[in-house]
Amino acid sequence: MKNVKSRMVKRAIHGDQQAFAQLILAQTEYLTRTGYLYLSREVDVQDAISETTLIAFRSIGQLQKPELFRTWLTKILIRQCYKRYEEKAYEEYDVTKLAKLPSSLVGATVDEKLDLLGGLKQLNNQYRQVLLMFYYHGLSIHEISDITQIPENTVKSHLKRGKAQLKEWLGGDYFEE
Amino acid sequence: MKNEKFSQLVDQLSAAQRIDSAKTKATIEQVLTTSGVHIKQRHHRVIWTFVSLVAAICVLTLSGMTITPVNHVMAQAPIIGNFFAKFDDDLGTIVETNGKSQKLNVTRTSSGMKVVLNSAYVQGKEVAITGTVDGLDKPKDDWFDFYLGRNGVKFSQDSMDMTKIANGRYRFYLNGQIKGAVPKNTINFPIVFTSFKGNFGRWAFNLHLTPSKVSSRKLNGKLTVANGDVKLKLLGIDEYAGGTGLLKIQQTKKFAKDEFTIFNVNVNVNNSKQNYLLANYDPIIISGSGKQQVVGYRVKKMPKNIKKIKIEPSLDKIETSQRTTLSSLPLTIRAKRTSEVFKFKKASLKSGKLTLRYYLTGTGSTDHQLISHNGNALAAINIMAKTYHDNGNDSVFGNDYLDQGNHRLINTKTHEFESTYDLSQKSGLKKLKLSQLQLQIDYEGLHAVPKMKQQIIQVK
Repeated sequence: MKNVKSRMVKRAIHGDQQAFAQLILAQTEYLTRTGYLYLSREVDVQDAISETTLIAFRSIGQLQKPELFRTWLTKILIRQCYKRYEEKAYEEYDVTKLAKLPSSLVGATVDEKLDLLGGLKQLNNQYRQVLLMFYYHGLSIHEISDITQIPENTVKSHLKRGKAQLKEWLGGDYFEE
Repeated sequence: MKNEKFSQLVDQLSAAQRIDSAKTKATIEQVLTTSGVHIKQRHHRVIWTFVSLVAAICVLTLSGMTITPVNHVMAQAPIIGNFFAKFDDDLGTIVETNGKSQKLNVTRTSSGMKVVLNSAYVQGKEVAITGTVDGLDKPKDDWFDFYLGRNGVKFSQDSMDMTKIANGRYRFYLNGQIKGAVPKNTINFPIVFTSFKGNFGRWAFNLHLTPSKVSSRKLNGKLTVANGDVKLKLLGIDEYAGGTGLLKIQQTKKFAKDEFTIFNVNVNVNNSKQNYLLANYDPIIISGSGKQQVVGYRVKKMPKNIKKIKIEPSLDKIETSQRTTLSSLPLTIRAKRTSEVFKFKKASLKSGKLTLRYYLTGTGSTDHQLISHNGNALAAINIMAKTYHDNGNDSVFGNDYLDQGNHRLINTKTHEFESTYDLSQKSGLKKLKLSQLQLQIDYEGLHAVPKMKQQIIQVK
């Protein structure tokens, strides 16, 4: 659904700067939304996207699989977001104060969804980051360990605790197959 | 491990955020400009295409007073580039300009939003559809969703796009390929849209698309590239009524994992030169896998009497990794198929800190690119015990394998790098001596895909 034209990526890999510009500008909204999943302050999000653009521009020639352009770009962005996240303090969470999940999100108002998103962001930040990387962006334990510079076993325990927090808050079965 | 349910929750919540992507666009443009990229405004090309083609129509229509057949053909052509050109669809623009796109003009309304499908085309397996949506006052994300009903053809989507044309009004586009054989008479295409920019509804259209007429002609010609690593055999061209074609080539590779691509196809007939390849499309794999495949390249209508086909090939060679014991350094290690050369100095191991110094050349990238790539381009060198056994799982390397080091460029003139590794991170490495350790060079991701010279296939 969110494919980019891999021929355009191949042109970018071969040094076509216009192709690269088109590719990355087409990802504007996606990069912004992804940035805000990991960071709260606009200045941090824009800073992370700026650095991501520069790194992607300099290293597009190294991309081996054009069809993985977006995955590759996402990983660079997550790495940049995490660098900035590490510098910020995080707040303690209190699940009892968070908005409750409505029975169906389809009919939920924008405000209700924003309340829930706020709730998601108030989960212990370290757990949330790892949950997003693993369950949303599909990174492996090894890749998360590489980005966060925390041991793989700690990543696993963060995932376990993050799942427990989310279950306590949402009361759902989000990670049960 | 992606979790669909959690992803849907995050998608829906994230879509509710009010974000200002205009700031991101400005940020990206600033970085690109600073990096020396002159960003072309895409709509200029469309406008100038429109202006020049309208001018051409005026001339042809006027001249058609005396040349009736030309006037007749052009009178059937729609206003140029109304739909597909707006999405940079070169193939669709050709079909539309030739008056061979299929008018749809079907409307459905749901959740207060009116969706009109305007136009479609089918060229071989390639299908594209454009339409407009009205009443979309609260965009929440940048995508739309659809699926095809069970009684339709199997369809694999390639790309999609939406552009705003007025308040609450958007033009959208999707294209992709029919999987399997294309029906000869009618293509059942029961498409159901379920959301536009995060606004849900149900807009179902039972489309019957008309396949393009096709004629085939054979071409004979052979070419060997990359010292025999790839052999090409021309098979022929499928020519579609819409004015596009599929140039079919049999590609035989010496190594199945190598990736071969053609970037430009210049057909030389009576010394005329033109690039016929439609640049924005991936080659279609018609049959085969591994070492031998029949591949179709999307082209503009090609001349009848083809004598030469000039191509610009590219071959991304897969290089196998190499290992050597650290006590064997200093040593020069050359890639077997690609051009990288690692010239290692003697390794140093003190208190669990391993230091490697080496000169690296032949990657096709600058030293700066190597260092800045995701922060770890030089993660090409991994350290492991001599007794290390590869379990074939990239994500689980074990306690006697270390792929994380710190890399820096020491000397830009000599291309000297330094990589340091903290062996105390891994229980299976921290007590080992140099003679018990080995390094592995993993070439994947290290070298840039080299450009190759243009080559000519003589057509018989």
